[in-house]
Amino acid sequence: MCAAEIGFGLGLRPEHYEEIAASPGRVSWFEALSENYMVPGGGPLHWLDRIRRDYPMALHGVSLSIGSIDPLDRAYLDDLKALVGRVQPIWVSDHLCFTGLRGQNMHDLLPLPYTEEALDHTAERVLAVQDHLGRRLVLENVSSYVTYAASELTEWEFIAELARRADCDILLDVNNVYVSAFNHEFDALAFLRAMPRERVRQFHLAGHTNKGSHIIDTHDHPIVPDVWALYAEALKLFPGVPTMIERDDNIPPYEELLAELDVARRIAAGVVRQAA
Amino acid sequence: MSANTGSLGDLQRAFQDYLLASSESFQAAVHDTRKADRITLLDVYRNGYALRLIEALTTDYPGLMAMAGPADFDHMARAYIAAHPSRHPSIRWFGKDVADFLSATPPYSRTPAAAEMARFEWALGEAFDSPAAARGVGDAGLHRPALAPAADA
Repeated sequence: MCAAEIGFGLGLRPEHYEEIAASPGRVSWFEALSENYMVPGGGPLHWLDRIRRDYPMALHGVSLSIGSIDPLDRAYLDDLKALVGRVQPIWVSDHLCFTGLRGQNMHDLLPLPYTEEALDHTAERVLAVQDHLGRRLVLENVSSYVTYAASELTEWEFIAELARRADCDILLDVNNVYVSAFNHEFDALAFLRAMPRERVRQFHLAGHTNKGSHIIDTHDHPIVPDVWALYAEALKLFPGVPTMIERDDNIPPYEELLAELDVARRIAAGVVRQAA
Repeated sequence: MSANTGSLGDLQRAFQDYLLASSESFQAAVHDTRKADRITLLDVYRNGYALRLIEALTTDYPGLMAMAGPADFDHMARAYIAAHPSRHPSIRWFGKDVADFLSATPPYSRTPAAAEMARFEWALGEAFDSPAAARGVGDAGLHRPALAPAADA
């Protein structure tokens, strides 16, 4: 299946399981949160298998902790590999960040310092994970609220170089680019332009909370107009890349998310018309 | 080595210790922005850490929350977070030791009904995720029932 055929998707959320199963074909694919299905059985896996019968699915993790100085969690990787075998996903993604160390999970996507040391360390681990899973990883840029004095590279230089060295792909979260660009006052378009075109596998879109002096990536609101505008720019640079909307809190009815996904479809169609 | 020139390991340890409020040294490793000072920005992470875990416990233990009331529940949750840091990839399992914590830790241990409620509520969630759970039962088990406060609690 080529990327352009995958199209527009949503996050698979328990609140919508029944409607999704009852009305197939409203979206093109779903993104399932890997850790929610690393369970022995029961309800979550029942719904996962049921909905997978009707839709292509991507697996999206939050606990790989690819940049951590802790050793890779082999038990986690084995569970992920088993889930990959079960779901046969279109791709497997996680975040460019660390989530804790000393065996502790802070359940947050903590930014890395953009240093040569972090680049070497992370690239080596991406290669090890890809080797273990027998497939390429897709890594997402995170929203961040602080930057390190120790950073030697920009975030976009770091991501582009990591993708090159580790031969991994990129999940470009357009909202995260917007949030981090606002917080750290960099040019969001410069970030987009630095992404290697052939490696951008997927877009994320989401809502956020603007505190005035900084924006927090909360996934609990509709997507704001500025992020839609940046998405249109991303589509010009990376045409046909599959898009999905993440909503993790204050979850609205399924129909509302379908309507928001229609906005993404209209913007994409407009970009295609302009280019023609 | 000071945090702002530290290696990857030093920086990650300082960041995590900051979230756990056991050290403030990470402040020296990050920038202010023109719009916000670094303490405000680091608070997004530090506050987020506790709030996310408290929210997980609130989802798992609505009955316990109703028994204890929001203020005592919050206090209990913060004590549990300090005593039982998460070691699981999924936040779903973070609350698994609440019943044991309550029965072993004063003052909670003086109210055995609290630990009993926690044990019951955890078992409800486990039943839904277990291999033996009924298949195709709708989402009855997903939205954990909001238990009414026990009259005799």
